[in-house]
Amino acid sequence: MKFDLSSEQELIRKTAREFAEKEITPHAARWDQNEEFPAETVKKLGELGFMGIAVPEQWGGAGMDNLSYILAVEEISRACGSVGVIMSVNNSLACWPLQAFGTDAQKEEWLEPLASGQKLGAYCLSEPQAGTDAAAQKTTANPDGDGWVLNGTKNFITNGAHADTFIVFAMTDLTKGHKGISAFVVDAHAPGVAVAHTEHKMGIRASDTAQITLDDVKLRGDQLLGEIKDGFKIAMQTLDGGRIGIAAKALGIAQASIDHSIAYAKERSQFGRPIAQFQAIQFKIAEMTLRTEAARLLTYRAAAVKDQGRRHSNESALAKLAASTASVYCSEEAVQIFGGNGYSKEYPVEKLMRDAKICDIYEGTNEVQKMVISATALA
Amino acid sequence: MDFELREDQELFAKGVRDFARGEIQPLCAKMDREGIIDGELLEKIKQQGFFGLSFPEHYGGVGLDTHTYGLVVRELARVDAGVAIMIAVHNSVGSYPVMQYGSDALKEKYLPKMADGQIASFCVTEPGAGSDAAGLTSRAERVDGGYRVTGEKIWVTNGHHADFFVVMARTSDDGHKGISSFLLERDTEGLQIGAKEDKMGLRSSDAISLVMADAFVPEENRIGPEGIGFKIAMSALDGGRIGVAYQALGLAQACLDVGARYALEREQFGKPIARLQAVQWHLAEMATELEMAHLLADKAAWLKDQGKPYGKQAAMAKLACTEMAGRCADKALQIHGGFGYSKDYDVERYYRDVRVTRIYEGTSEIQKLVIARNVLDEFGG
Repeated sequence: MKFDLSSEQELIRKTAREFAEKEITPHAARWDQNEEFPAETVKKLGELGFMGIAVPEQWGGAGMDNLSYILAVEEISRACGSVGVIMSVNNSLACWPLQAFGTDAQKEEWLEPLASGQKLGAYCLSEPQAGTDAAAQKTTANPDGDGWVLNGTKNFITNGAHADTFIVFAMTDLTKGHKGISAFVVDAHAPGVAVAHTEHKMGIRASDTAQITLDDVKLRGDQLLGEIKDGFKIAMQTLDGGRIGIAAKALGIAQASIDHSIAYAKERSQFGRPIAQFQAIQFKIAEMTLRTEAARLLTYRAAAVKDQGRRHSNESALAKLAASTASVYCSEEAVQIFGGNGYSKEYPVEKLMRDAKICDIYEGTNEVQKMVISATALA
Repeated sequence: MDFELREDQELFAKGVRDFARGEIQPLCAKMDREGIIDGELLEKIKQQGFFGLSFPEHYGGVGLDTHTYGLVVRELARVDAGVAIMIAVHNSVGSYPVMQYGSDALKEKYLPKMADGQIASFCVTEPGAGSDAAGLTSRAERVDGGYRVTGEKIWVTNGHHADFFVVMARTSDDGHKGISSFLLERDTEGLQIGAKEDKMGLRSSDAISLVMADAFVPEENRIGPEGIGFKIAMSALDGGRIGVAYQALGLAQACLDVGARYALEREQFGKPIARLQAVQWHLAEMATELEMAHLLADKAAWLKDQGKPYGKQAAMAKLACTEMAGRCADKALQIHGGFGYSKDYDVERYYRDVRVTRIYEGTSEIQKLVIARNVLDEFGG
């Protein structure tokens, strides 16, 4: 075992940190307040190679490993969780299934623009009635000549209103349950694709979350991704990777909570001394550091296992559960350390708390992660 | 021991519940968005007598005991925690100093106005004095006929609407013994009402900053003798904490209400999620913790109504109720999944509203300090 980073990994972390401090931190509060999608910043992330970090250079990516990708998401999320998730969805949920299951022709047509940041991707699995029970898909894909026709409604689609390319899951055989699901790659600007509405959310307000309707959307035959009826497997394997990205996003929020707490505790005096000198505050910092560091090791391990090409469902679930829980815990404690100031939008920690909570929910709730972990343990 | 509510308490709580559901619920989302209480609602609340709940009848109040008053705060908070705290601050920390320590003349002059709906606020916290309330630096300099007060107060709940400001300020440098308490009227020259704080939650309630620049307050508006301001503030907060405890109970109950209702409605895996153990466990823990915390609050209120010491129990009640309510909000949101993160559902607001209950009127850490001091005192240390 070794716990150090390669010089390449150190470099991407440093690059991400500097980019975040310069391009994200000064704007994050405004984006949050106005529910503003940071389109220019996303474009710059693309130019840096951050929208397809683990995609081979041949397909427009940066050709780095998954741990590098995770380090970048963590650093970006330290400045703003919304930008972290925009990046994570494009890398993990849009690029990866194309890279893993696409033909060379599909990679050229769809993956390259996404990985190079010229286009933005989204992942359309959830439906109003299919959340945790993702297999309960009602969207259909019916054969139409050589191609397909899509009909249905997709819910809570991150990047939905700004994306150019969707990975869409739909039933090609309604009688087969989750074995009747297939995956497709869809042009978000095609006729019949519409944004029904975007959500007004508690947090990650710079990331857009849309309901997408698919109304007789015509697809060519070569827009089927992978084999027919392999959709559920593709969806789940994609989420195995996505969850490491969300874990990294959560780590960024947890670390930001610790950073702000330490700075404030040293600066804020009560009872004639900095509050950092009180055990009540010291032990909070200790607990926050412990939970974050433990979650970080689980997250880096999940990325390392993925880099070895091994199955990582359980590692990802452990990482996401630990990191999400740590981010909610740390951001709550940060608000507490800041006291009344923590509850005000003049200070950065109330946003951290609002941005953290969604980590407990998306790409599989904490409960879903526990289902994965317990099923693995009991098997 | 007797665990039942009196019939009049049940009736009172039900009346408030109906009012809150009928008149407040339709406005909650709007008030949250706009960051201020609805003007017409505020008038209705005044007409209904909510600002006189804890005032004796001979001042024109309702004369509720602490326990019944707590139940009212709970029922309001079950619908809108911001409206609940507005009423709680007025009925406790805003008015208690005059009621308990004011001269007869002061009581006769101000309590009927307060009971009638002229709003009271409580000003202790300063930019440099939060948990360390005794570290406040606002000064009251003696002048002919009274004092001139200079300093800055922050996080003044109700300040945007308040007619009266109960202000703690220094009359000497003798630590917490150098603090005195005054009642300032809104139109006092030198009083500048600052902007409302832009807060994460509890947005129907306002909190403002207050700048006092040589603001004159007549001698007769000093509450009690010089030097007991800190004691007044602390004893006012003992009672205030019972109100915050009931506010948190209302929020927790609201979370249990929406959590259970949503769990029965929402189907996944071919059945309501209420049939899944993971969701049942959330509900079971919420219900159990809520009941435990409720009993602590009821006991604190009972002690106060009996005229017995209640500072320790009030701190325990506030600590238990607010920490519990935070966990309930988290679980209720979790049961809602992605929908719970959307402003289309009330639980999103409860989650933001509940957070401040662990902070104001003494953070959880301050409650632990109070409890620990009491425990150590009991052991002679």
